[in-house]
Amino acid sequence: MAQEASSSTSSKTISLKTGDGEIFEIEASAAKQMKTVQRLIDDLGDDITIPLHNVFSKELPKIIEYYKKDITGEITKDFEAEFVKDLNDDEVKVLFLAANYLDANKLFEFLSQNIADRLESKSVEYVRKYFGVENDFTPEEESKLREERAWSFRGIKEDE
Amino acid sequence: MVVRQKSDFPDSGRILKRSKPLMSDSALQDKDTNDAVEGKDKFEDMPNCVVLHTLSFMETKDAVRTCVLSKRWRNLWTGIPCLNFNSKSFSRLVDFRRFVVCVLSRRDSSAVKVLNYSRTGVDYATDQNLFNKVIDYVTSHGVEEIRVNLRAKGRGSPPVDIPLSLFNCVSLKKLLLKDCHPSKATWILPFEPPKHLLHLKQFTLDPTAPGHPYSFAGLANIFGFATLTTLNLCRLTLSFTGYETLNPFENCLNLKNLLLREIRFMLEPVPEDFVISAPQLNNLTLMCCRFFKCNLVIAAPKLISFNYLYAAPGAMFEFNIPSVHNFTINICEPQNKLGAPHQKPGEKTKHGLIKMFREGPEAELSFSTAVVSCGAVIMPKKKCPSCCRCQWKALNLRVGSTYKVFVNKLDQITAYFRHCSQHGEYDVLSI
Repeated sequence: MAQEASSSTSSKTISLKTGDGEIFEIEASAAKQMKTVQRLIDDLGDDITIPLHNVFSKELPKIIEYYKKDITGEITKDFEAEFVKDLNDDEVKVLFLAANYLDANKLFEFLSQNIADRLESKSVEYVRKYFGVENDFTPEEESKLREERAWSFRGIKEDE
Repeated sequence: MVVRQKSDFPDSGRILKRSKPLMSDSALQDKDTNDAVEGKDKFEDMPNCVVLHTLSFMETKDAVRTCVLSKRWRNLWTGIPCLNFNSKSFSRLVDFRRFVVCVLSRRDSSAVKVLNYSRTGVDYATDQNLFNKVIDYVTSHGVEEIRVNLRAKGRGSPPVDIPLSLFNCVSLKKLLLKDCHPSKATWILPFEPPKHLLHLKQFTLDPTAPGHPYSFAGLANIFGFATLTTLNLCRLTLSFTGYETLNPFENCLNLKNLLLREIRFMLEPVPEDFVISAPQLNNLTLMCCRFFKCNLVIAAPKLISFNYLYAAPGAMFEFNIPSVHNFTINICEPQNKLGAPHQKPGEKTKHGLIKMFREGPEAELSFSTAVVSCGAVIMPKKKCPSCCRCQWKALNLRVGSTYKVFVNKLDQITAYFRHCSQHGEYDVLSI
């Protein structure tokens, strides 16, 4: 948990404004865990509502929920499992991107693992769609590549 | 099955979208619900280091297949700083072998920070050749963490030769050997005396079955226990040379966390005292260890917490620690998942007595903040000679902010202390 330099910030809340205009409050100690937010606070002061253009009202509450638990030291495996249980793959992706934008390391690491888990043994097509990758190979190029890389496809048990 | 690991990326240079908005304000207006679309754009915008970071949590077999996603991804996988090999994901071991060799030969020259190598097989042999190749590769690529899991079906932990390259690896900090144990050949490595290029911080040895009596000193010597901050030893049978006390950890000068699980001694002779006295030790956990006939003396001056999950009833503890503050003692019964292999149903659990110290005539032991939980405590059947040495002045369990005492048979405990104390007056201050 972050040590507060000045006691006046220990119970302070910071206002965050999402890209779609909604305002959320978080504790200053939680804000410290999101380096982007902290940087903005350092630049703009902690009395101003901090604008987060790339984070939206759909995902910010979840992120705030995670860091609320983090500052009390209560993040357990069970909590993390519960946290992602009802999220579909796209929702996790959005959270991941938000965590990256906010430079929220702990959440970022956790979601990286979760995404890796979700993509385990999935087909190439599935992964392509998930990452939003446009296939710029011609069919000939792709089949040639697959042949070259046959060793990475052979004998592996696949999910679907 | 993906193994979770922590990889450090101090210079990941993760993309930071600072105060500049990604989209113009007008675009924000019709940014209705399409999170999925946004996600699609942004993911492709991720710089390579972020992508690699995510891929490093995957098994290598999945990560490698991203080579066909698009031109950008064709050789991205070669820079993933983690290798996660798991033979269970392959139908045949020969495919696994071929895969590993191909990855090693096609990878770029960047560092491998973490290696997770898991090979299970029907045979007892560990595929030593392949193992050597992998270890040689990662140790020459700056590896920091190695986790090895070699399990032979039905035959327990195979012995594995640890290649010399591992002992010469300056970057390696964490080593975990699960379901395997270092073979005899490891002990006679060609450097004498051992030049410790290896400076491990964490070492875990967790074979499936006990049975190979190590010279603990040999292990400590080979792997360099003096640098460790965390040590986990499971299912080890410690041999014992026959002196009165056994104090294996006194030279672990940096050890902060110690876990001993299912440790036992070779039957005869059994030391009178098993002492744990690592000078920097903060956390000690003993699980399911059989210390019958042996006194367990905890003499680590900086200990903060002590957890004892027992399997053998009747263990005797002595705490030989000067005035301690914020000390947690937790003695409890194992949960079902740990199993209580030697306990018959209906057998009452009997924990050994806690003797707070064995010497020090005018000593006063106080816990400012203490959590002590004991199961049913019994009086010793025979008169223990060291009881006479206990001269309690006072035992203070002061009320602090995080103070809890769960004591099952308080009257038995106070009777015991009264029995031990030379002073007639005896107060136990508790809530």
